Amino acid sequence: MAGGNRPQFRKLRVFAVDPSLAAAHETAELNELILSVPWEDNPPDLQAIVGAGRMVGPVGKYLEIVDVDPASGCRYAPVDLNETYVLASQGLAPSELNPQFHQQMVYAVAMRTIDFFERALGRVALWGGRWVKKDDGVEREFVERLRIYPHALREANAYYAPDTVSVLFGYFPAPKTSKVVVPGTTVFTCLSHDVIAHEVTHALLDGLHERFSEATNIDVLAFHEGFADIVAIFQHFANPEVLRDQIARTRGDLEQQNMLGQLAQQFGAATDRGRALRDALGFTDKDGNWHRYKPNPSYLLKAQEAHDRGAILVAAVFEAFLKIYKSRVVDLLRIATQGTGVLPEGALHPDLVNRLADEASKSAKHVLEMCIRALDYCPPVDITFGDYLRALITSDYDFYPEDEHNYRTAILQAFTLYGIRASAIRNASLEGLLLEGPIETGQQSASLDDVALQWDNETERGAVFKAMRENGWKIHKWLSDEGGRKVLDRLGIVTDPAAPKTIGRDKNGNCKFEVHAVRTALRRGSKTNLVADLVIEITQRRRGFFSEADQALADQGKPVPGRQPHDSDFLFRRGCTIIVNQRTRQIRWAARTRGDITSDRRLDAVRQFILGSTVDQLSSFAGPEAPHQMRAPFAVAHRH
Amino acid sequence: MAKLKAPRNGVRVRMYRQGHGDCFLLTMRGQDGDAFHVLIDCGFKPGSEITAKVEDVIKDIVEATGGRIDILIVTHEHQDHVNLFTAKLDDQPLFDAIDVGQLWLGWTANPKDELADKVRKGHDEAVGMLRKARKRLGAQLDKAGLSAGIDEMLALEGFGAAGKTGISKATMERSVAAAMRYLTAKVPDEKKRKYFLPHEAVDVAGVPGLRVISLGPPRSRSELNKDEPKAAGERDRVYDKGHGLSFGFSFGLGGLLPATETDSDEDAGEDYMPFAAGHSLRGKTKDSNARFFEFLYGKDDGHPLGWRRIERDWLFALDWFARKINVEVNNSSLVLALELTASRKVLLFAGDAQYGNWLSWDDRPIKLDDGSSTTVQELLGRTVLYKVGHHGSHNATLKGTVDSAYANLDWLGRDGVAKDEFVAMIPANEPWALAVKPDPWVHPLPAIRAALDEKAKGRVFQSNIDFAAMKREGGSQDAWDEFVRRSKGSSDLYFDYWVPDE
Repeated sequence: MAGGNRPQFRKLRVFAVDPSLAAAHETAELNELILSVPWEDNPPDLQAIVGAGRMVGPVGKYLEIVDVDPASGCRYAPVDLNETYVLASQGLAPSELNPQFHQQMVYAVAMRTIDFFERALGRVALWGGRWVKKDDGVEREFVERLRIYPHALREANAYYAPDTVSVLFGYFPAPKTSKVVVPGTTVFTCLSHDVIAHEVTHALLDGLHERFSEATNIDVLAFHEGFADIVAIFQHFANPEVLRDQIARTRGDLEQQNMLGQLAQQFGAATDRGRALRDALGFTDKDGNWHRYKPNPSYLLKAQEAHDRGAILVAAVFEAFLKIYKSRVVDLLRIATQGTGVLPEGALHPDLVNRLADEASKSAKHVLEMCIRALDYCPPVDITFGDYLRALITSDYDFYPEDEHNYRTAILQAFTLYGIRASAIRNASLEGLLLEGPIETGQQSASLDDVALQWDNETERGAVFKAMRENGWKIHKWLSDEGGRKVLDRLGIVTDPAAPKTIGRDKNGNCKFEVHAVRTALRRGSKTNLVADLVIEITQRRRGFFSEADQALADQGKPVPGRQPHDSDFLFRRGCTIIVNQRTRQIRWAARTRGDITSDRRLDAVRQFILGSTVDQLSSFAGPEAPHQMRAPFAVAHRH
Repeated sequence: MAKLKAPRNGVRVRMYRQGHGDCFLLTMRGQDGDAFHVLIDCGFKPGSEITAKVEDVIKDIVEATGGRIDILIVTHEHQDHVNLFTAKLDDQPLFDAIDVGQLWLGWTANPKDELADKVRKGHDEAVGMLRKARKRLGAQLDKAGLSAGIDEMLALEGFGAAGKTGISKATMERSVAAAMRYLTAKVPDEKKRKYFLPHEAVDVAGVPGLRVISLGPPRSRSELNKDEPKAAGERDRVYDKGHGLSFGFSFGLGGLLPATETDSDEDAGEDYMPFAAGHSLRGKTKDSNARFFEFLYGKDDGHPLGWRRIERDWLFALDWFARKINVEVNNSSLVLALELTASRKVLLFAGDAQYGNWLSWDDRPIKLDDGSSTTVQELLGRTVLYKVGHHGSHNATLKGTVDSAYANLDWLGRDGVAKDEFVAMIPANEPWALAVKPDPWVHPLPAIRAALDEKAKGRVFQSNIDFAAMKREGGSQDAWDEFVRRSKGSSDLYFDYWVPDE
C-alpha cells in the first residue's frame, strides 16, 4: 500500500454495550456501533514474521491482542484487520461465536480509550513499566505494548495485572439462575464495551501513577475503581448515537434515564459486578424502573470497600455531569416549549433529540477530559478523594481560567453533596480548594536548564520514557544542590540527617528522595497559547513495621530481633507533585501527601490500615500483605 | 484427673492443649450444687500436638465430667473443631463414654430451617464442585503450585488429605459430616437440640445466674426484617454487610467447576469449550499463526516474553474459591456471650468468626428474659474472658476504636472489673502453624497477639506456651498474683482458669 494513500482512521464494528441488547427487540437496533480508531499496521518486528501489509492480532504500537486460552488448552487464530473483506465491511460483523471478532472489539474499544487519554492530556500515553532486578537494585523497563488476553480466565472477572502489564478477560457459562441471559450461554467479558474501557483505564492510570495500586488508605483502590468506571461511562456517553435513544425515551430528562444503570449490562446481569455499581448508585422499583439514589454524605462514611467507595466517586462525577448537561440544554428546552417549560405529549421532535444528544455527548466529553487532566495534579502516593477534588479544580482552572459555564462550581457542589471533602484547607470554596502555590525556587540552576521535555502527541513513546528517566536525574541533581535544599524543605521533602534511620539513605548517609516521574501538562497560556508545564513527582520512603516496638528500634538504627538489616513489613511513602513553569522555573502548584516522611502519625495510619484492611479478606492464613508486594491487587478486588 | 467439683460461683474454664484447635470445658454450679458441664468444640489439626496426647485429653474430659456433659456446643463444622468427637482408640470411639444432655448449634445446622437448608445445599454444592475440579485439574494445579493450599481448605471441610497424627495413638476420621452425625445420634431427642438465631438471649435452665446471648452467625437482615418498610430512595446495602451466608459466589466459575448430575467422586465433569471446535488451534503447525504465537507467547517461561505468560492465572480463581468457602464456614460460627448475671461479667466464645460475622453484630438493643435489654457494645465492654477467634488470625479479631461502627477488639474488656481481669485464650500451636508448607499460617498474627498482651497485661493463654512461661506485661502485681491463683492446676494437658461471679 502506498504510504501517501494511508487512511488516518480505521472503522471497526463493535457491540454498543454488549451482546445483550441484541436479544431484546426494543434495543436490537442499538446493538452495534462503529468506532474510528487511528490507522495502524503491524510493527516491523512482527511484519518480519507474518508478512508485510497485514494487521494481524491485532498488534499495533500500543496494544498486542494475544488470544491464548490456557483453560481450554488452545489458542484462537489472530484476526487480520487488513484482509480485503474485513476492510470492506468496516471490520468483522459483531458475533459472540467468532473469537476473531472478540479480538477486533477489544482492540477497537481499547484504542478509543487510549485516544481519549491522549487528547485530554495532550501527550502520548505510556504503560506501567516492568520491574527488572539489576545488580544495583531494581530498574523500570519500558513496556511498549499493553497485552490483552480476551479469553484468559474461566470466571466472571476481568482484571489488569501490573506484573505482566496485561489485561485478562474471563468468560463463563451463564448460571442456572440467570434471568436476563439464557442459562448456559457463554458470557464473554471481553464483549462488554464498558468492561474493556474500565480495564484499559486501570492500565493507563498505572502507567501514569504506578503507586496508585498500593493500597495505603481506604480511598486508593477505590479511586482506581471509580476512575476506571468514570472513563468507561463517559467514554460511552461520548457516542451521541448511544444517547439518542435514551434521550428520546426519557424525553430529554437524563435524571430519569437508566443508561447509567446499564453499565456492563450483560456482565452485570449475569453476575454481581455490574449490579454492584448499579446498586450502589440506585435501585430498581417494583415496576422494574431504575432510579438514582439521592446524594447523601453518609454513604461515604459507611462504605468501606473499594467498589462501594469508588461508586460514590462515580456518582459525584455523574451528578456534576447532569448539572452541566442541564445548564447546556436549558435554552433548547425554552425554545422547544416556547417558554412554558412543558414539552408536548408523545415523542420529541427528532431535531430536538439530536440537539439534546449532542449537548449530552459534549458535556460527557468535557467531564471526561476534566477527570483525566486532573490526574497530573494529584500527589504521587496515598491518594484520597479529597486530593482528587483539589486536582480537578486546579487543573481545570489552569485549562479554563474563565469558568464561563461554572463547571467547577458544578463539580464542587456535586462532590460536597456526596460528602467528598478535601482535608487541611482553609475553606471549602473554589478558591480554597486550589492547590498550594506558587513557590519561588530562588536562583536559576544550570542543571535545570538542560531539562527540555518535548512530550506531545507526536513524540515517540520509547524516547519519551528514556527522556523521562534522564530528566529525572537532572532534576534530582538540581534539587540536591544547595539552592535545591530550600525548595525541598518548602515541599516537605525531608533532608535532615537526624531523621529516623528507617528513611532510605544514599551513599553519603543523606535522606534519599526519588524524582519519580517527569511529564508535561498543558495549560492555557496567554491568549490562544497552550503552554506545557513540567509535572514532577518527588517521593521518599521509609521502612515500616507492624510492631511499634520494632519500629522504634529500626528508627534509631538499632537491629530488630529476628529481622535482616533492610527488612520491613511495609513501605511508608510520602512526597509531592509539583507543576513547574518551564520558562520561569516557578513552582506553580504543589500537591503534597498528608504529612511528611517523618510523620509517625501518618505511618501509624498506614500501619493500622494494612492490619485492618479488607482489601483481601481471604488472608486469614497468611496474614496481611504489604501493599507494594501485592501481586494482583485488581484481580482480588474484582472478585465477590 | 478426678471428677471436677462445682466452683462456688462463676465459671471454671478448662482450655485443653491438644494442639492447633479448639476444646473448652466449662464447669459451673448447677441448681442443686452439683457440677454443670458445658463443652465447646473438640478438634485439632492432625499432627499439631504439643506435649499431650489427644486420647489423654478426651480421657480427662470423661473423668472430669464423670461421663456426662450437660450442654455440648459446636461453633461451626470445621475439622479442627469437631474431629475429636469421633476419635477412636483401639477401634472404640473415646466419646462413647460420655452422655450428652443438650446439643447447641448455630441456625445454619437446623434441618427444619429453610434458609439453613439453602445455605447448606449451597455449601455442599460448592465443596463438591471444588473437589471435582481439584481432581480433574490435579496436574495443572500441581504445576501451578496451588494444590497444597486447596487441599488444606478441603481438609478443614472434612475432605482431602487426612494429615498425619503426631504423638497420639488415637485415630481421627477426616469426615466432618460423620462427626456431626455422631453428635446428633447422641442427642436423638429434638427438644434437646437448640439452634441459635443471632441475638437470642437464653437463661440456662439448670444453672441459676448464667445467661447466654448469641451474636452470630449472621442471618440476612432482609430475612429478619421482612416487614420493616424501606424508606423510599434510601439505600441500606451497606447495612447488609456481613449479613447473609449464601455461597452464591460459585457461579461465574461454571466453566471451571462444571456441575454434573451425579454425586460420584469419579465423575470429574465434562469438558466445557467456549467456541466451536473449528476455532481452537492446538498442537504444532508451522503456519503464520503458529509463528505469531511463537513470537509473542512461546512454549515456556524461558521465552524472552515469558514474563508475560498467563498459564497459571486461570487457576487462581479455584484457590480463591476454596478460601471463600473456608471464610463463609468460619463466618457461620456460633458466637456466644456467656453472662454471669450477678457480677454481669461476660465470657465471649467467638468460634472462628471473621470480619463478616463481627460486622453483623447488631447495634440495636437485645431484649432479655427479664424485660431489660442490653447492647453488643455493653456486653463486649464487660467481657473478662475472650476466646480468640480463629487461632488469633488476621481478620478474626477486628481492629477499631470505641467509636467504630462495628464491634472490634477495642470494645472488649473496657468497663469496671473487666479492665483489671481481662484474659484471652488463643487455641493455637504457633510453631506448628508457622511450619506449614508451602505457606506458613500466621497464627496468631503478631500484631493481634501484641494487642491482646497489652489489653490483658500478659494474661494471654496460648496452647503452645506453658503456664510457667507466661509473664506479666504492665498492670499491677496484685492483679497478676490473683490471676495466677485463679489458674492453679494448669498443666501440659490444659489451662485451668476460674472466672468468679463476684
